[in-house]
Amino acid sequence: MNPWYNKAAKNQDGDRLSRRILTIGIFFALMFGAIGARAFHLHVFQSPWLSKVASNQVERSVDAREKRGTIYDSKHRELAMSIDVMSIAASPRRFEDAQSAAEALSQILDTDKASLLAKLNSERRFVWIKRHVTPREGERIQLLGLDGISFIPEHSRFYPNKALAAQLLGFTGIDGHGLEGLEYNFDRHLKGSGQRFTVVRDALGRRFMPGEFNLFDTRGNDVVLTIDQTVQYIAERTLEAGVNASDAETGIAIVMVPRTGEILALDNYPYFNPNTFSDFDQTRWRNRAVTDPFEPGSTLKLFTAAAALETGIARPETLFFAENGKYRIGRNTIHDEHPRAWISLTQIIQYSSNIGAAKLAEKIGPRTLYDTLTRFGFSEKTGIECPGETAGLLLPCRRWSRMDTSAIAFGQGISVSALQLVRAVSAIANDGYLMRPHILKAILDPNGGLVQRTQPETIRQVVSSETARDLRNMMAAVVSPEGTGRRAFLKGYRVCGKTGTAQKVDESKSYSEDKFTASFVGFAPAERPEIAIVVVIDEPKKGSYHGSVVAAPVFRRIALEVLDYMNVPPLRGPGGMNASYPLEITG
Amino acid sequence: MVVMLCFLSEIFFYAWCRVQVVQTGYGISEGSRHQRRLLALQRNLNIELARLKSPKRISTIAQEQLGLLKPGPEQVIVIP
Repeated sequence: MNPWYNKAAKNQDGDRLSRRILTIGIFFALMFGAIGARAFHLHVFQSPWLSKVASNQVERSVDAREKRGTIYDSKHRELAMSIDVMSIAASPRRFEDAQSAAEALSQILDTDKASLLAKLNSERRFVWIKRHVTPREGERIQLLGLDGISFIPEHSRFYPNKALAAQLLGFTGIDGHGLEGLEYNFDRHLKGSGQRFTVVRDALGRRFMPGEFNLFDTRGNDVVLTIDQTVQYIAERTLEAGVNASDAETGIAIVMVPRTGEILALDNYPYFNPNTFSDFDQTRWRNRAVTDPFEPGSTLKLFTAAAALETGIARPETLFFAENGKYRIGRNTIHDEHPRAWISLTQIIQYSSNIGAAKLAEKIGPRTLYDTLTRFGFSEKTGIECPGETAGLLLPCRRWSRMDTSAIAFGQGISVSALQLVRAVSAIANDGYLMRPHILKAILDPNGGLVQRTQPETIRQVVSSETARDLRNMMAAVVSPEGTGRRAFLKGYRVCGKTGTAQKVDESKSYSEDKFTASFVGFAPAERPEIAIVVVIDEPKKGSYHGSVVAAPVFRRIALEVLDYMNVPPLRGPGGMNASYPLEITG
Repeated sequence: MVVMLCFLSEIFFYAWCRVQVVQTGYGISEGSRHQRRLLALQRNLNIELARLKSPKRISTIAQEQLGLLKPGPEQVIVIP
């Protein structure tokens, strides 16, 4: 063999091998490069999407079943609270024998079998069988062991005192949204923030990891009211007895603290049970003390007198001629219940003389009367935290005729709400300072931390403290043995008050001869008023229709029990228990 | 050999730690469920308490069962 040939052949083989190695090396380098590029692409550019895909396999986002906050009274006693309940749902596609399932369910739930069967035969993936079942119903359905039935935990609203303050509290719908009253007004605070939670699940779908606990225990804020459950109960029980005794249509009672504007009780009769609100007529749901205006009648004479005193047109002892019971203005004649000749301003209030009030209004004029009434807050909303508040009705004074001025002076031709009336009288008790009535004391977060607190708010001083004092003396005379409000006399306490009886406008748009609104508004004790109360009884039919007979005794019973409950001691010393009159308030 | 043993021990220790984490997670879940049950019981008892404290119920018991009456103002003795 040629050695040169051998060497050349050897070199040729070596080059070929090198090329092969190089080719394989390049191939592997390209492959590794491709893998590296893919890895880089996945890690850098597709990382967020891949992370999401991975987390979707083990994590689930769930809406928190937030429990509605509690509504408390001023002493932190529950007025409205949420309870855990179960609802029954079904997946119709999973039912093999819908007929027998519907039969079994209808027996337990006491519902129509045909409608249940229609639900179970529907093409939908999810249907409600019954919301908020009782624990016993839930247990019995569980025992059936039906495939395709789901038990869904929910919350339901519960009012432990049933009808107590029902119109004020309102109620919620089946989905937990406030529909009426304070439940509606404070819905934003009570229902919570609507949080979502992420829970981790294992391959079998079981939840694990801490943190899921919050899913079931998140709550809305709590609302604390100025209402006192006991005062509310006293007012409700007494008002109910008063309305039934006079066979009246409806009744309203409000108890307010004159110094602060806090509402202790706000009561509308007839009542309803908010736990079963749909069983009652919708007219019972309304908070008429706030939403419904009425003609106040003689209680408004107080503010006519305030206008006269404040402008210096009259003093308490200034005499007016009461025309012996009949006074003609144009084609109209004003009557007094008891004919009198000359009476003082104090006696106009004490005897509730319509003619005296008309004469007074003629003296002060419509502009001054209108200004005084608006300063006392009539024709403006009080700003209380209840929905649907009325501003009442007071026409501009330029549209008043001479008769209108006289009628408004004794409380006809003007509409006010019970809340406006008790607020205005509270200003007299409060040395002339008009307060904003409020029902909200505080809003607390689920841990008890303060979110919001209501402070007493003075709107304005409507009359001087001297005028307020004179008015208090006049109001005390009303509750004297000679006054129209003698049935509001309280043994052991000095009471200031005013009766009111107003004719109602009937369907024919004229004043009715047999439909009246009887009212009484006042405060006690006169020296340092702790409570102001208004009682309005609509259309009393049995016996007298006068506020002095129908409403004053209700005021008396509420005031007596509430003062006792509030530990306001009765008067002692000279005169003892009967020292309520004569009264001379100097403070 | 020693390196291999260390490596295997580390693997087993890591696996044990993971199992412990999962077990503890289940334990916490069970504990949370128990706490929820107790809280639900407490809530139910609070509801029952609120119902029992209703002034209407207490007033009825006081007047009808115990024969109690509201004292009149003349019966009130104020202790200075």
